[in-house]
Amino acid sequence: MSTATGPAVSTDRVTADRAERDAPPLVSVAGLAVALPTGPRTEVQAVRSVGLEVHRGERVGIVGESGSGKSVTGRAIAGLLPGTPRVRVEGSIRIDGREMVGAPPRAWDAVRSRTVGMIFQDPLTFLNPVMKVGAQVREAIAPARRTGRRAASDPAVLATLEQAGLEDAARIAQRFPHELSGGMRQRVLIAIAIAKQPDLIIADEPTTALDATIQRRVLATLDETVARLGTSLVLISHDLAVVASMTDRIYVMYAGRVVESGATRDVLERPRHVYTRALLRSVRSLTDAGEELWSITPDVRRGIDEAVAGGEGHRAT
Amino acid sequence: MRLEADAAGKEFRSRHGSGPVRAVIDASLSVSPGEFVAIVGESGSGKSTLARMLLGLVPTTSGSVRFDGVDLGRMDRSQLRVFRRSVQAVLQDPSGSLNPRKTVGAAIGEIVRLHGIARGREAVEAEVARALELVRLSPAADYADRYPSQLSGGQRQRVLIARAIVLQPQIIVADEAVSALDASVKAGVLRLMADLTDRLGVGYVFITHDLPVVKKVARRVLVMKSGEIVESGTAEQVFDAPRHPYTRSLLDSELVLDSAPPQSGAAPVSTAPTER
Repeated sequence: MSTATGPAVSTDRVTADRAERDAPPLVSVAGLAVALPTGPRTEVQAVRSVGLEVHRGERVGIVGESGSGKSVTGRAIAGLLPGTPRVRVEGSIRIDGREMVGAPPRAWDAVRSRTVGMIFQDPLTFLNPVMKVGAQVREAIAPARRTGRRAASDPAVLATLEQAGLEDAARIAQRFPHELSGGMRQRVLIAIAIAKQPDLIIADEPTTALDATIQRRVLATLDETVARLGTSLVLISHDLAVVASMTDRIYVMYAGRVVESGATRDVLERPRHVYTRALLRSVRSLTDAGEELWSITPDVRRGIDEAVAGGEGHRAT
Repeated sequence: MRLEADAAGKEFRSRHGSGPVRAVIDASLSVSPGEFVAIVGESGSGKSTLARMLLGLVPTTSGSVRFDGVDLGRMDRSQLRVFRRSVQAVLQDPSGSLNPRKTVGAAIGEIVRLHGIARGREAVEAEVARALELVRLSPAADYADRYPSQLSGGQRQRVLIARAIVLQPQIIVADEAVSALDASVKAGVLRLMADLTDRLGVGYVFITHDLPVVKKVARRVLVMKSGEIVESGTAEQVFDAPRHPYTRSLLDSELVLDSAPPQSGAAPVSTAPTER
């Protein structure tokens, strides 16, 4: 089936995207496949075929269900896959022009300390429970930019916390993670991610664990922060409404593959792939009045699986 | 048959000596078989404590929770037995509620035996199979032999529902039972729950922070904030004309995907990876 070119969408946003695409992308992933060990002799092919690009200043969403491989893709780009030889990564991940698949750990250290920051769903597993928040932010700030002797009085630390929407930064810097609310902890993660002044922030379900009112505020903080710093954003979520509100372009993943990509509004309003349509139908059935609750039944899933298997190798450009 | 809270309250003593924490304050509600009552609120609103009070897992410190008119705290053994069988819990995080070393069949079969629903291996297995088929884990024989780790999140959640309905309860108290699920799985579990009302007359107390879902499935809605029920009414009343400012702020915060645009000029369906 030919889907060579999309319908002409004459919005300024798309025109700007086209212009941006002429510059070399910040991240360019092609033919990515990742196998993760699940036991002594077993593994799972978490990512089968992923290609994606992130340009400077761009906001890209990755959506899909649990197990679609979206988080593993994000971790692969951030160089945060478990460092054992049994994790097999194939294909290409180019960051700032440099090929990172097979690159030495030192090269990844440089990427993680300067180019890519990551925000996870659960701050408590990421933050050190016995270290004050200010000190943890300070660790992420390049030594040359640190000024004060103590984290709580370091203007660079306080400015970073404030940039992440934490007012009263001096007081918060003195706190331990467990003394903060969920929304504040998530902002601390944003602070740690931006402390490195990275070119790209990868946020994996950053607000999924939060209540709606707090989610709104944390998303607003993330939105303002990346806009102000000109940081690129990859937002990974199963929540289409969150991704729709935050991103310019979107990749839809299913069973380890990107099955559809394009301008976010375009894809959500005129989905073309059978899976994207099914996903949107189930999401809308949960909220639209008059729509009967609709889930992807095993029969529908079989059809999608066949379509995805059959569509392999027919990648349109 | 009715489960009701009458000005029920729960105080927790504070460890820091700074006065007790009032987790639930004067909560009143009632649910009967066939009804769908939702309790919504954010973290810390006391909704999960209230759920546990309704299940008799947390004793009330004021007011009462009654089942068929009898205070849960004053039930004799046989009354308690009927209550434990008639009111079931489905809680969030199926991986934490299922024994990882027991197969699905063993976990459900154990409860069948414990409550004397059936005796003898074949009869117990038949009950287990019936429950698994009801939650569409079918063919049941395939799923009965699996361990929790061999199931997806949605399947584990359905196992918990199967474990609850195998006792043929009248009322299920579900605390964030679908919040962690993908949209498609969530829709499937919610449909199953509605289906159980139609076929078995099951009633629900459905506790969640997920408002769009509540709007879709609940008939009555209670809104909790800081331990208190601040608003209650039919789903239409609460969603279309919220009276309490907190309810309004909750509704305003929800991010919902816009409705599908009209299908004019719809793009052709594609089965190939599509980029544009």
